Amino acid sequence: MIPIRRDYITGMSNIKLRIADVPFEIPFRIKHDGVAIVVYQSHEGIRAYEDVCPHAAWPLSSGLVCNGVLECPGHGWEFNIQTGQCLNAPVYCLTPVNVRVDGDSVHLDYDPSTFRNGRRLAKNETLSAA
Amino acid sequence: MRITYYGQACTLVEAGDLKILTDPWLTEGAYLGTWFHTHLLADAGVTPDTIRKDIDYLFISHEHHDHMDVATLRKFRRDIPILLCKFATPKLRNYLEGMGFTNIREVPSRMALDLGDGVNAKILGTAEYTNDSALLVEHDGCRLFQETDCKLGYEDLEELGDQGIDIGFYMFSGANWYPMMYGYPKEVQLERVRNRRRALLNSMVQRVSLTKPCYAVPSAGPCSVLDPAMFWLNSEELGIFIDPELAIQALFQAKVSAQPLLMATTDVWDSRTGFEANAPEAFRGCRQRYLSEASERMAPQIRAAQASEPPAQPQLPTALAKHFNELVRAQTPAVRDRISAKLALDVTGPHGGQWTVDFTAPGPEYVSEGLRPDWTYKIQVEDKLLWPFVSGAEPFFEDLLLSLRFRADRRPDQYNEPLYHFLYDPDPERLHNWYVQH
Repeated sequence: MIPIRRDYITGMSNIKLRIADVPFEIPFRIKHDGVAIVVYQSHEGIRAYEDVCPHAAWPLSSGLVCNGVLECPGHGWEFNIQTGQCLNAPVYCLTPVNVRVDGDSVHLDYDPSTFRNGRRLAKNETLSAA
Repeated sequence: MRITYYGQACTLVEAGDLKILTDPWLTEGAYLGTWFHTHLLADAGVTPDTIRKDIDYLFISHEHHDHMDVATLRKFRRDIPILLCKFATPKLRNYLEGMGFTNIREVPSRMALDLGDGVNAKILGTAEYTNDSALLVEHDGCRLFQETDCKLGYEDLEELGDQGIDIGFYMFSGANWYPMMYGYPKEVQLERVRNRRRALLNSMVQRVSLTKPCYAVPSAGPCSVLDPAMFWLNSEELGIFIDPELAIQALFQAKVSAQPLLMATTDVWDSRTGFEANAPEAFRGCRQRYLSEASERMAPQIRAAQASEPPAQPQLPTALAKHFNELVRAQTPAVRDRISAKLALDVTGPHGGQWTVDFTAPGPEYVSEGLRPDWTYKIQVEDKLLWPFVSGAEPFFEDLLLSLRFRADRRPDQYNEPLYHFLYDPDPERLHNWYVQH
């Protein structure tokens, strides 16, 4: 069971997991209240994003990670698992979820209102050379 | 329900007393003479003249000429009902109205349609920035899914799978110029092609798995290139136009629940009686051999067509600068910032020259002569091919790119979607809505 706490003042939600429950180097999906998050643990730490590809909304948690690149199962769009930046179309990036590690627990803090079914544009500065 | 397959996404759907023809492309040599069908339709006796005309509805998924062929459309009565998805801009509708069609029905994506005689349909719009759509037809408990080469969103596909599909036609191949037209070193080029083909086949398998049809037919996507000078594009090592046999193999290897079904021109699937193999025997043999022979056969016709292409006019430099200046100027600053490209045009031929369209310039002039040393995307093309697109004679710039009669380079080697979106449909409101309002 995943404990969910919603802070009604800020709109932020928090998910608490045990690190031992997060698979290693395998994308892992957490779904609650209509929101899906993909969590990925590697030697570089734990990253989490809205579990939706900005291209055609496929769940990225069904994709594979190879050499730090998460490939969407739908149409093969690729993302840097550390930054969420789309490598094929750098104008897009994944919606990040804040990850806090506290002892043997992982806290995922997210604001559901920022989840846009994956349609998140990258910051302008990443576009200048595109 | 009875479905006759012609090629690409062109199918004749007979349901009840109704006949629906999808994505009519029954000629050869689309996109400036480059695109031919998987097998030449005329070898199966199929031409715009021989196709039956008592069609009740035409469905056109999008404006690409391998889905909306002008010569084929001209054979139909001008008041034939044409079903289109309601897109962000009315470009396709306007184009068809310009051809004289008077009964165009734009339908919002996902809206249920009662076509009469118990036939229901639904048009599904793409999740991408393009104008593209797919079709679902239902009659007497039988459901057909014609994906065309539209990339639907996950939820739409999942819902189709939940509802159940009897037969689905799926895109299985690349249908554009990447990476073949880019100047990569040979090893890089080969790797890109391999990766692209793997991703395309994997994508088809995923979509078939998700939509769970009883029968899965690889249909839309690829072309055959019969111009001897460009014949290398049909190669498995060098091109992304995948052979349908390989798509069938991929479906079998993935052990999808659907029955993979290879359909060639004039083959039929009937919901009561099953598959009828009508295509010529030559369509079931070695396709590379067939294409070699077809290329040899068509070469004189291709040469003649190229020789008769109208030359560029001396006003090309002025027209080019005017065309791009107006289009870039019309964009909002935020969209220009998103595009943020320096598009270099290296135009060969008697009226050629070199220009750079700089989306980062302060304006109002965005086009300058010469190739800026810091260009980010470069197109090298013949003047006579570019001329119709900058003079206003041809409305769809992407047709030039789909012709594969150009070379390109990009620095850095990244897909600049906003730039393509601009080249695809530079409507300022559409671009602003997609990149800024969203």
